[in-house]
Amino acid sequence: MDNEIREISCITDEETRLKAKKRRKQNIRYFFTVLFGRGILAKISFVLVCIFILVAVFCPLLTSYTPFQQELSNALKGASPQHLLGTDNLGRDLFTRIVYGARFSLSIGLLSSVWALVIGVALGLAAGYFGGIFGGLVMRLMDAQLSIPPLILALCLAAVFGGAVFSISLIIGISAVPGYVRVIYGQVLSLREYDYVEAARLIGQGNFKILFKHLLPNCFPTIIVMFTMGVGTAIMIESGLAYLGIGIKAPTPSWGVMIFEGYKYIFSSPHLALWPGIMLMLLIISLSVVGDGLRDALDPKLRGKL
Amino acid sequence: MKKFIATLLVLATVISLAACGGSTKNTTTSASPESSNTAAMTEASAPATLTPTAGGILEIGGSAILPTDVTWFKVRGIMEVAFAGLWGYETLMRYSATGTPECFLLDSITPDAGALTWTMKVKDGITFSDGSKLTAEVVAWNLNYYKENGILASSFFSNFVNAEATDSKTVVCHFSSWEILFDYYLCRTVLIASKEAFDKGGADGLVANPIGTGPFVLKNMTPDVDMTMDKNPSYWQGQVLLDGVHYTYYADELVAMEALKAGEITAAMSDSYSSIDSLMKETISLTKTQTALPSYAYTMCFKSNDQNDPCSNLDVRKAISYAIDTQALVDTLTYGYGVKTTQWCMSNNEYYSPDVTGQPYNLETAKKLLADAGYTDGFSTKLWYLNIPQMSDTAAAVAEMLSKIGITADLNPIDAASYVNYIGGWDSGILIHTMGMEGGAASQYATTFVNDISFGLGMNAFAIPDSLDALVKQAKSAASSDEAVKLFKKVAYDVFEDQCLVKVLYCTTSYSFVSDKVHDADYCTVQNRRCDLWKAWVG
Amino acid sequence: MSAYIVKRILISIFVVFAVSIFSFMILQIMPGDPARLALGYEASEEDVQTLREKMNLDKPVVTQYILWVKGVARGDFGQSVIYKQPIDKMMAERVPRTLTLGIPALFIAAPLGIVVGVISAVRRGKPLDQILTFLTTVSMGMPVFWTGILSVFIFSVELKILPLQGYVSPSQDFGQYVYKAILPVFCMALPMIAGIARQTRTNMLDSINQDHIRTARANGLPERSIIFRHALKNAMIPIITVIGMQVRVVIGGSLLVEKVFNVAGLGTILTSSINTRDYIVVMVGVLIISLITVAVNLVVDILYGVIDPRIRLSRR
Repeated sequence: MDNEIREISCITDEETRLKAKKRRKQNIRYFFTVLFGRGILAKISFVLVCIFILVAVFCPLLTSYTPFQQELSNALKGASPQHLLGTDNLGRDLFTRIVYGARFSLSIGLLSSVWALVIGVALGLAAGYFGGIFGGLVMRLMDAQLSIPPLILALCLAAVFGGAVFSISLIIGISAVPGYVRVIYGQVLSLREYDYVEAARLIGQGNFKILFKHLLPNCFPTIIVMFTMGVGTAIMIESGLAYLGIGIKAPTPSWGVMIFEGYKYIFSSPHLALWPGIMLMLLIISLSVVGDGLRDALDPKLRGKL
Repeated sequence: MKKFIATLLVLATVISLAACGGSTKNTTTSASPESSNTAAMTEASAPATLTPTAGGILEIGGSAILPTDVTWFKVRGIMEVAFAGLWGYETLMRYSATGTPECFLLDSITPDAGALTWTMKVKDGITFSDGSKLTAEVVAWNLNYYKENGILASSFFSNFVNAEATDSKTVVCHFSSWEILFDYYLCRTVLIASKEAFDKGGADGLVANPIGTGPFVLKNMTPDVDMTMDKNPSYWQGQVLLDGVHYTYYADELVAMEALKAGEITAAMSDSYSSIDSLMKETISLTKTQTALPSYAYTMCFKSNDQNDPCSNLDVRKAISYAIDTQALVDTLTYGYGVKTTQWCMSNNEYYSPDVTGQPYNLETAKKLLADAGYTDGFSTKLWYLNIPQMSDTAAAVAEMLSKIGITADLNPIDAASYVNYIGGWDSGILIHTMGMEGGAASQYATTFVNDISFGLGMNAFAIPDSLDALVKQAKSAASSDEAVKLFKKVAYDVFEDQCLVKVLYCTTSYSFVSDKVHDADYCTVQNRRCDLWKAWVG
Repeated sequence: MSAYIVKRILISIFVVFAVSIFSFMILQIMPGDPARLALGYEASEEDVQTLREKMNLDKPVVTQYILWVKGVARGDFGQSVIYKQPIDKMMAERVPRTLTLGIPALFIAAPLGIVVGVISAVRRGKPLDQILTFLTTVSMGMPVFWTGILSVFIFSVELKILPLQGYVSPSQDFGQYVYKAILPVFCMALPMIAGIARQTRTNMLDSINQDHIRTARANGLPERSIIFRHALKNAMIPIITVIGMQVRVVIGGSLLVEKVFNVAGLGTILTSSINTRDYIVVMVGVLIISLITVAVNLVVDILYGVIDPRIRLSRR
C-alpha cells in the first residue's frame, strides 16, 4: 500500500498519470477477482449481504404491516397469503418482524462496529506511535480485557448500562476493542520505521498530523476488513445476550429476542424460532465470508491473524 | 463443482428446515382450546381395582427455581411455601378449594373481637419428624418467633402481640387492635418448626436440617439442580407410601414437559400457557388437573395521585379500562386456560362482589369518556412491567389496545432485581403487576388500599380517598367474618368500579400433570404448587 | 530462557491485577445495594446499615478493594447474597461442571480441527476442501445457542436418541455423564473445530509454499513425511496460539450451552447472579474465568519459548 502512496505523490506528467490509472484499473479488477475468488460461496454471500442491506433499508416498502401491529384473533397461524411466514403469539406478522429484524440487527452490528473502530483505532494508533510505557500499558490492559470472554464482558456491562440500543451497541463495541488495538498497534509499529514517517517527523510535522495523515490511511485496508468481520461478530453477541435475557428487550424485533421468545413454541409453532434463527445464521455466515474475501483482496497479510 | 457446493447449501437449509418442520403439522391448529371451563377437570384416573403399594420414588420436575435458602421464617412467596411443604413444613391452617381457611394442624380456631383474641385448639397426636410432639406450647413459640423474626411479620403480624399456651391444647393469641383476617395469614407463610430441634441446634441447625410435621424430610438440595426428600415414617395423617420425592429443576419449562412425556419425571406443574396448551392436547395418558385456586391476577395499576398524569382523572382510568378487551387477552395470552375476572378473586370466593362490572370492553364508551376528560386526541403514557415473557406479551397487547383509543403507551420493562423499587410507586402512567392471589382478596385489599402502609403496591401512586381508607380499616377490624365479607365487598366495589384505581386484565391458574403410574397424588389440585403427597403411591 | 519466563509471568500477574480491579469495579458501579438485597425490602434501615458495615461496604473504595483481595488470597471469597452460601463452596461445586464439559470439548476440538485443516490444505481447491471450508464457515457462523437448540430438536425430540438436557458428574456415573455430555460438548467443540481448522489450513498453505518444503519435495521425500514432519511442524506455533485463544471461546460459549442444556455450572451462576444483582458472585466468577484464561495463555507462551527460540528473543 505504501507503494501506492509514493506513486500518487510522484505523479508529474501525463504519461505516469495514465500508467497509474491503468494500474489502478488493474488493481480494481484484481480486487474483485480475489474478492470472489473463493468460489460460489463468496458470490452467494456477497449477494446475500446486499439483499440483507437492501431489506434493512427498504423494510417499510416490503410489507404493509408494522412489526408491532397485532391481531390477537389471528395469533399463531401458519403461512398464508396475508402473512407470508405466519403470525406469532400476539398475531404479529412474522415476515414483517423478520424484515425489521434485519434492520435492527444490522444497525446494532454497524453501530457497535463503529464504536469498536473509533475506540480501537484511536488506542491502537496512539499505543503504536507513542510506544514506551503508554503503549505497553495499553497493550497489557488489552491483554487483561482479552482474558474475559466478550460475551461475559458484555453481560457485566449490560447490567450496568441497561438495554437501550445505544448502550448495547457501545457495550458490544467495547468488547471488540482489543482486536482492533492489537492489529493496528502491530501495523503502526512496522510503519513507524518507514522513511516517510521519519521524514515527516524531521520536517517538523506534529504528532497528530503524522498519525492521521500518514499512519491512519495506511491502516485503512485493515480497518475495512476488521470492520466487516466485526459486524457479524457483534450481531452474534447481541443475539447471545438476547438469548440470555439480558440487553435488548421484547417487543423489539431483534432476531435474538425472537428466537428466545419463539423457543417456547418450538413444538407447536416452530416457525417462530426457526425463521429468525435461519436469518441470523445466514447473515453472520455471509458477513464472515465477505469479510474473508475482503481480507484476501485488501490485506492478505492479515490472513491467519483474523 | 460449484453446482455441488450450491446443492450442499440448499441441502443444509432443507435439513435444518426439515428438522424443525417435523411437527409443523400443528402450526395451523387453532390456539383456543375446546373448553375454558374453570372447574377442575380430571381425566384418566387409575382403575379402582389397583391396591396401593408402598415404596418407590415420585419424580417431580419443573422450572420453578429451587429456593436458595431453607430458612422457615424467611419464606415469602407461594413457590417457596410449596417447596417448604416438600421439606416437611406445614401450616396451622390451609385453604379449601374455594379459598376459605380451614384448620389443618388445629382442631378449631375462634375469633373474639371483644377480647382481641384468637383462640386455637391444637390437634392431638401430631409429631415432628424428630419425634417431638406438637403441643400448644410449641405452636405459641412458633407464632412468637415469627412475630420477632418472620420476614412478612411487619405486614401480617403488625397487630399481633403474643401467643400463650393456656393448657396443653389451647393457644390464645393477643392482638393490639382487632385483626379479622388472622386465619388467612396463618394459611400463608407461618410454617411450624420443631421447638426441640431449635433448642438443640438453634436457627442454624434448623436451617441445615429442616424439621417440621410434614410427610417428607429434606435430605439434600443442590441449588439450580435438584433436591431429594425422604419419607417421614411417623407422619401424623397416616402411613406415607412413597419412599421419597425427588425434584429436578429444569431451566426450561418446555424441556420439563418433554421430560414428562418421555417418562423421565412422573409429575409436573406448569403455569406457562404454551406448555399447558401443548400438554392438554397431548394424547398420552396423564392426569391433567387445573388448580382450583387462582395464582395471579394480572392487574393494571394507575398512577392516580399525580395531578399532571392523565391517569389521575377518573374518566381517563375508566376509558382505559373500557378499552381493554379482556376476553381477547384470555383467549390469546392464556390460550383460554386463564380466567376472566373483574377483581382479585374468582366468582366462587366468599369475597367476590357481583356488583363489580369491571368496565366490560366497549370502545365507544372508552372514546366518549376520554373525550369528556378532555383528551379527544388521546395522549402518551408509559407502561411499566416486570421483564418476563408472559408479562411482555401482556404489555404489548395492552399497548396495542390502548392505541385504538389514541393513547400511545411507551413500553418500559423492569428487571426482576429492580422490580421491588417500582412496586410502591412508578414515575407516571400504568404499572402492570402480577397480584398474588394466594393470600385471599381481603388481605390484599387490607394491605394495599390504606394510606399509612410502610410497604405495598402503589403506596406512592394510588390516590386513595379518605372514605376508602376508612372503609378498609373498618372491614379489617370487623367483629365477625360475615361482617368483614360484607365490608370487603364494598371495598372491592370502590376499588374496581367507583374509583377504578386498578383494573384486572385476567387471572392465571396452573395445571398439574401426573403420569398414570402415580396414584392418589393430590398434586397441585387446590393451590398452585401445593402438594399433598402422603397418600400417593407408584405402581 | 528463564528471563523470558519471568517476563511472561510478570505480565500475567499484571493482567490478573487489572482484571481484579475490573471485577471489583463491577460491584462499585452496578446499581443497587448488596446489603439491602441480602436482607429484603422489608428489612429496617439499621439492619441494612449493620450488614453494610459487616460487608465493609461503608469503607472507602480502596480499603474495600484491599480487604477483598486479602480475602480472595486467603480463599475467602465472601458470601453469596442470594444463595446464602459461601462462594468458595458454590464455586467448588460449579467450576468442575463447566470444566468437565469444556476440557473434553477442547481436547476433541484441537486434534479434530488440526486434522480437518491439514486435509483441507493438502486437498486445496479440491471438492473435499470446498466441502470442509463450507462446513467450517457455517459452523463458525452459527451462534452456539442456535446449534444447541437445533441439535436438541434433531437428536432429542425428533430422533429421541439423546437426552434433552441435564448433567451427571463423571465421578458419580461415568456412562450417564458421557450420555448427557455428548450434545453440550458437541456444541462447545463445533465453533472451536472450525476456528482451529481455519487457522491450520491457512498456516499449512503458507508453510507448504516455503522454500525448504519445496526443497524437501524436490528431493523426493515422501508426501506424508513432508506434510506431517515439516509443514505441520512449522505451522504449529500459530495453531497453538489459536488453541490458547479458544479457551476464551469455550468459557464464553459455556454460558449459552449451560443455559440450553441446563447445566448448573460457572456460566449459569454468572448469568443468574447478574440477573439477581448478586455482584459478589459476579466478581468472583469473572476473576476465576480470567485466571483460567491467563493461566492457559501463560502455559502457551512458555511452550512457544520452548518450541521456538526465536520467540524468546523477539517477543516483547
